[in-house]
Amino acid sequence: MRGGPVIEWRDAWGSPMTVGDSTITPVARSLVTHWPGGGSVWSGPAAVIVEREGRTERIPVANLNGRILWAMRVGAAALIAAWIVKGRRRRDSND
Amino acid sequence: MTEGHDHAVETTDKAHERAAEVLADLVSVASADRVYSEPVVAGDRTIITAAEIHTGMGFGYGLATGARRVASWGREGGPRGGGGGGGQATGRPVAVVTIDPDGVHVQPVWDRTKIVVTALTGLGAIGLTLMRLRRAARLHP
Repeated sequence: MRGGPVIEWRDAWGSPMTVGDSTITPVARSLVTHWPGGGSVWSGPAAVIVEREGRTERIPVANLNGRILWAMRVGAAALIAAWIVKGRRRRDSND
Repeated sequence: MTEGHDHAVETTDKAHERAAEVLADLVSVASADRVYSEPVVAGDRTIITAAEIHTGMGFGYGLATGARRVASWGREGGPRGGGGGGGQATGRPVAVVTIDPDGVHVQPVWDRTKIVVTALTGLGAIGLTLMRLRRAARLHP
């Protein structure tokens, strides 16, 4: 932990659980960032692996809330940036 | 160096090591068993909730060893230092995994409150920026 800043994505597989004739293995994804004075970890679900009757299926677990929230934040930031650039261009053209 | 300086450096090193240990514990959150709940069985259905977890921490400290610095505080004595830190942890359900005789289903959890609050904050920021830009355009046409 004493080294420089580190950013890494990690996939972590959970313990398989048997439900009826299916075996479910949860998979999580984490974004780990750490620097000499601290760190941060975000973890969320990525998918569940379902093994049933000899077949393996990967069912993604989508974080729809997260996508909507990020889309709104990025959209608002882009709109504000576009207005600021437009205003500056207009002032420059008037000068 | 003085005995006081050595003690201060040793204490700072211990604090750094302890903070590194806490940080290592923090990274242990990055496991699937923390993200997914224990399965709950209800009749012929098994339900597992999936959540997103965010944890973070930061710390800092300083050490004054120079005689000038100590003199500027108007105190007698050896080196002095101080430090502090803080952290946060949040969690929010993301989806519900249901296993029933028909198969495995994943249903998203809608956090309407957070979506509405974020939308209102975004609209507020956009409105404020638009007002400032219009005012600036009036002052500097």
